[in-house]
Amino acid sequence: MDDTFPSSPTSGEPRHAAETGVSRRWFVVGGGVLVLAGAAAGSAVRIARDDYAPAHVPNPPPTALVAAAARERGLIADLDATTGGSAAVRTVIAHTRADHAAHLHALEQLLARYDAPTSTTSTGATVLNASTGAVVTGTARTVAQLRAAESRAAAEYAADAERSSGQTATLLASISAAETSHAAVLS
Amino acid sequence: MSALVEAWQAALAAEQRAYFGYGLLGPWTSGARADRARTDLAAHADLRDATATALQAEGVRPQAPAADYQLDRVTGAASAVALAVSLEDGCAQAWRYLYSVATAASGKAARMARRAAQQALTDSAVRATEWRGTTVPFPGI
Repeated sequence: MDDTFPSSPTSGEPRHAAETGVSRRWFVVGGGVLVLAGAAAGSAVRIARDDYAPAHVPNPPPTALVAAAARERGLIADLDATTGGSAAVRTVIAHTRADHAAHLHALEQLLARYDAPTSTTSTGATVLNASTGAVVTGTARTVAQLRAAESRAAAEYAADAERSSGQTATLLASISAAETSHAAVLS
Repeated sequence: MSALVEAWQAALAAEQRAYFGYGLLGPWTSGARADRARTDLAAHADLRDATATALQAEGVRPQAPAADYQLDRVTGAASAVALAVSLEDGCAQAWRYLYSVATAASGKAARMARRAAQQALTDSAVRATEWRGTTVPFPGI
């Protein structure tokens, strides 16, 4: 055992509960809970506190949401077009692609609340342009280019999140963090 | 106590918990993982202190850390890694929650909390990825 860490315990015995943690607390504080199924990644997204985000909004969708969906389609298309790389890189690309598909699905769920027809055009394997219905064609990238694209997307998501409100802002902030993680694993 | 301050205090508590947890798991790591544990321990200490300072600047008394925490038992390298992932996920959730609360608030403190929360959420997501070896699509959610 390494003894250079502060507060190193002398045993790993369970400790008394002095803190209940925040994960449950935040989960129950909010009003409603929206469940967004991230179909491609097989993940469910729980977003609490959607009390300021009505189920249907008779307005055009926020531009940040529309831009985010387009961004995800572009990232997915480039990952699909990038067919080279080592087995390790292929694994990272496949996982990153699944995350992006989950992002796109969640974004489309939010966009579906608005009146204007905007998207709902992605499938597990094919990404279509929301406006034209055409297949989004990507470009094969190097790992460095993919990493740069993820970093760029993270910055754009963070900026869009700061300009947004409510549930949209929170989702964009989380996706920004995910994109930064993608850049990290592509290093 | 406002919802914003309550969420901010919860984020501070998560950082205090993470700092404690890294002290628990660090001795069970070696090599590159030990280096990472030291780096992450220092990062949580810095963020804990910065968060406490930010709260004090808003006229709020930062909550003191608990004397002890109920954490998963660490018996070896694998459980040390699992605890690190759990600690980072906990921090990500706390900062994500602060972010969501800050979006419903206004003023300088809310803007500052929002920026801090975005950065901390991202940092925890990256650290969790490094420990886990893979990403998750929605950190903190």
